[in-house]
Amino acid sequence: MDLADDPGQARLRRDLRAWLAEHLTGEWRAGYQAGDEGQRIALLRQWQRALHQAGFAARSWPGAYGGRDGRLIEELIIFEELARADAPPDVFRIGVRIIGPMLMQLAREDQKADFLPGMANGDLLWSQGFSEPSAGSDLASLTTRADRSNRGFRINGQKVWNTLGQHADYCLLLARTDPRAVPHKGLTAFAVKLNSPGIRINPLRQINGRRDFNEIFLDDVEVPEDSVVGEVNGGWAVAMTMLGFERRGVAVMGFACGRLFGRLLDLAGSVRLRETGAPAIDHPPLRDRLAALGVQARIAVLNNYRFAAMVPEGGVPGPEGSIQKLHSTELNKAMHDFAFEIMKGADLNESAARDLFDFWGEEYVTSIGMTIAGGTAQIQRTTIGERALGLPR
Amino acid sequence: MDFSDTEEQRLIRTSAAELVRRLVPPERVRALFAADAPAYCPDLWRGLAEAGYLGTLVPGDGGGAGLGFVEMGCVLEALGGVLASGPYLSSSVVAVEALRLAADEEQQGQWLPAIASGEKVLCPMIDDQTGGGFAPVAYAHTADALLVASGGHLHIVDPTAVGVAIDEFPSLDPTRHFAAVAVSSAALAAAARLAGPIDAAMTARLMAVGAAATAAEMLGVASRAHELACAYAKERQQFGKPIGSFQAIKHLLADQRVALEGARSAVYAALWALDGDPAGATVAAAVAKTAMSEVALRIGAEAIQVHGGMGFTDEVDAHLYLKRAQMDAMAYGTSDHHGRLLAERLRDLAQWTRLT
Ligand SMILES: Cc1cc2nc3c(=O)[nH]c(=O)nc-3n(C[C@H](O)[C@H](O)[C@H](O)COP(=O)(O)OP(=O)(O)OC[C@H]3O[C@@H](n4cnc5c(N)ncnc54)[C@H](O)[C@@H]3O)c2cc1C
Repeated sequence: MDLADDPGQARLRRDLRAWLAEHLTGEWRAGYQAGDEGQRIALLRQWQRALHQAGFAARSWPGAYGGRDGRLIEELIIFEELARADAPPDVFRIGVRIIGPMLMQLAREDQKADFLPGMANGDLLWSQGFSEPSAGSDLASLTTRADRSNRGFRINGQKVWNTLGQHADYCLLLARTDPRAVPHKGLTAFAVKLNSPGIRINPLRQINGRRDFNEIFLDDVEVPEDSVVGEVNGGWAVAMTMLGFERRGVAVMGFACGRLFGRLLDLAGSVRLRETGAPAIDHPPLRDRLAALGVQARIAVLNNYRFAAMVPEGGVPGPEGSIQKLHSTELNKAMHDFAFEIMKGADLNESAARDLFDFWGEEYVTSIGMTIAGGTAQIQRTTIGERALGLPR
Repeated sequence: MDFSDTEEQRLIRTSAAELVRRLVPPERVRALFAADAPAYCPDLWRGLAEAGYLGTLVPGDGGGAGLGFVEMGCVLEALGGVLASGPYLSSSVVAVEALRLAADEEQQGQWLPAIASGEKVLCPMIDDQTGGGFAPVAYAHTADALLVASGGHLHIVDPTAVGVAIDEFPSLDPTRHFAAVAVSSAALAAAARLAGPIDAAMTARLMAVGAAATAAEMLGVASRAHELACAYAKERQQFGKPIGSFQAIKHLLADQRVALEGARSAVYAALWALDGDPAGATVAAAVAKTAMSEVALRIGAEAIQVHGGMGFTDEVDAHLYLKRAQMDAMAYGTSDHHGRLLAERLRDLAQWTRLT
């Protein structure tokens, strides 16, 4: 156990910081802020390409698939530094952290060669098409169908809450191929090109005003035989592998919590309270609550490093992913709740405070979604109870 | 950055757990409750000495193992898990650190090998918050000497000397003996003292050592209470099913596990910091102690709840874990103390050490 960086890790951190200082300029941020949605996605593709070229994307992947043969811990160091630097949103996370690692375990060699390098370098944006209007937590009950056709499969049905689908190139989609089998045995995973005929994508307005997720309507969508990922009727294994990686992926939120604590201190230092006329941070009850959140934020960061040391390189994360996800997403909510608590007491006669009120209000609402996405907090508790504690169903 | 156990740490963790499970079966814990029982079990003390654990922190040339705080934490976690009685934390951890900080060579030669061999027990009294005395102090009357902080020095006081009052009082925790200790100024003046003075930074260091070590013990306590609750949830049937199949119980136990894992991260980070990042150790120890206290108290109380009416009978051990946690929560700074410390040092708290 050594919680200090070894020389190689320290070099990686230094290199990344220097790289970020050079590339993540005020100018870049301003351009990003000013862009509309389409321009932002284009900028984020460039951003991913640049990160990848510099060796900071998909670092733990094999070189043959666009990675750097790095260790998992290096990837965590990169995530931590990106969080610290308030790097732009990682829209490639679904490919790089969830679908890509699954492909490495379950896909054919030609699929790995076709898809993985593009996921890593920003060419291919992927989304995940699991949930349906009547199948969320109970994923195995999904009803979108894929029937044999002369060229491969014909897909009909509807997906929902599909994040980033309106901008994505591909969707990893789960559909029912054997309606007679027990629910989770009749599913197959497909790599579907989102510009295929018969696909209609409808962005949904979220409670935070953004339109990040979509409905996808599939109407006689023809997909070739070789778009099957894993075995026909082996979709459940694909889904479970992805969910394992997704939990670990969301757990990177631990680093975001670490960063968020620093932002809360800045906020509390800059906002003056209506009642006292002094900065929120001078108000002892608020300081006490900040300290309590800071304790948990530090734990979230530590958990990431400790849990990473428990998963063997190349292994699928077990229920410990759920533990991390539950801790960091609940904490993320509590910290945003606190930020808005500060804003509720702020002197809103100042226009700067009103801007912050608006900003943190939206962030607060956004944080609520994170205990729903990727398996709700309740489902995580059940998973932990049954798989980590061995409690009966 | 490597948060995994070394081979040696893994070995200590498993062999310490095995040893204390063998030496302290549950009936041993309860045997000590009898009025005429010894304060702690001599078998355990001998066993710990033979395994070299009493000298984990004692340097190699002082007859010890010369290991670090993480290794020490592995032993203390194991001791906490079986509710072991004995002055391990005070004598082999805090007193050893005090000797390393303030004793001269001769004094170290006199005490360190004797602590490592189990021949002598030192009872440190560092945390004088009132100016008038120390309470609660664990195992004061059975110690060979008290190590009393006063006037910038650590005094080596004979517990039977004139002017020393040791008032044992019944604490919530029946597994240990606590006393209020008062040492008169005449007794202090007559006592020998460690050669070096002890300043505020050293006191803070000793408090951090004590807090992190107490948190390590509590980690063992809370983990075991959680295991007992999980085991009962699998075995106890109501409505024709094991109670662990009910979501109210399942989710409560899952939340315990989440909290416990987080506290574990904090505890081992604090133990590591005592050796690896001394400048950050006070904040790291405060994080560990507040987080661990909250978790251990909650799990202790919930473990009783999960056991239902059986949990309220003396016969089931769950309450012993809660009571141990309550007394541990008082040692080396309450949550209130550490919480205030952190509230005063919010920027340090934000500074996860390796990020500088
Ligand atoms: C921001 C966001 C992004 C998302 N992105 C994607 C995506 O990219 N791709 C995708 O496929 N899906 C995505 N989802 C969907 C997400 O996976 C589902 O919303 C989630 O799995 C819950 O399903 P549901 O919405 O149908 O809720 P339901 O399953 O209907 O649950 C409703 C409530 O009941 C509770 N509940 C349900 N079953 C149980 C049970 N057995 N025990 C206890 N409580 C239970 C739930 O916890 C919840 O509180 C996203 C969701 C959000 C919010």
